[in-house]
Amino acid sequence: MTALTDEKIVVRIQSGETEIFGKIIDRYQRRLAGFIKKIIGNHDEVDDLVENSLVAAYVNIQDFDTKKKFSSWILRIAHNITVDFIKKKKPLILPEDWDEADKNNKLFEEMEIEREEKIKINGALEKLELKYREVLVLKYFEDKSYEEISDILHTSTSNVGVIIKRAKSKLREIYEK
Amino acid sequence: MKNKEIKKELMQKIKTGKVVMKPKWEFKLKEWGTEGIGLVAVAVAAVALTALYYFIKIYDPREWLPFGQIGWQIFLEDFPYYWLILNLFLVCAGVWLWSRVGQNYKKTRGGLALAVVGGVLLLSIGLILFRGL
Repeated sequence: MTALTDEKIVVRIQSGETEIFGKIIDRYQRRLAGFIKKIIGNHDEVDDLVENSLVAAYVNIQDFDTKKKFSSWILRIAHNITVDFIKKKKPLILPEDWDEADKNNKLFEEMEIEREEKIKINGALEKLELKYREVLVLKYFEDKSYEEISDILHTSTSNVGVIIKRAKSKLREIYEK
Repeated sequence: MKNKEIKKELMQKIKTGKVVMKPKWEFKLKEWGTEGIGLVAVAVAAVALTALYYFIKIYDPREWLPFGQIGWQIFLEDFPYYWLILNLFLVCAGVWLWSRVGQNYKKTRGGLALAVVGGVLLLSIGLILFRGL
């Protein structure tokens, strides 16, 4: 039996089957928490931001175009809520023990960095400006394509490429200091 | 532990109607409103550009330019700035509004600006020709 895609679930929610929103929560709660944690790093606030993101996703679900990818849409909501939070509060310190998603991620591979060096690179990421940090998180931890990142950050695909290039170069600069 | 709490609490709020989804028409209205205001901005910007052209043609402040510094002063005093300012403001507003419509965020600001300026110019030329100005 094939599992329902996110988009099919959303079609059913949009047509009134609100109780299956629980499936969306099951699928995205941890993922959103991982994403937000990498951006703000504050464990205490992460759950509230995840909850706010899920509430916003439900409230605005009729705005979702089911021809598009739901994961990009919900990550955009989480991104907006996280950015609002950062604007209101001081940027917080990233945790050293980023969750399991970073175990084999491509950023570390691309930078040819050993696992023991991860703490150092986490520190470098922490020092990166938000716009560079979030694009690296989306590309290398969420494994999003340029097209999807452009949907999440609402910018052109070419601009995504430019920001990623700059982010990697800035990260390397900070890392090598 | 918190994982289950979020789901339980949120689903409870949905069931009891404390969290309600916004109707589709609200999003459509917002989208059409932005598009409509964007179109109005482009149309009024074209009218402002046409008015600028018209007033320069009628009063022609350029005639004062050969009279040296005094001529320049009169030219600057007579120039119909308000139409120019209105036009520039509406072009900027138009670009800002259109960048918020649909998938336009994928386009570069330069490309959008070019499209809006092109639209304003075409409309303005159309107005000038239609009104025989």
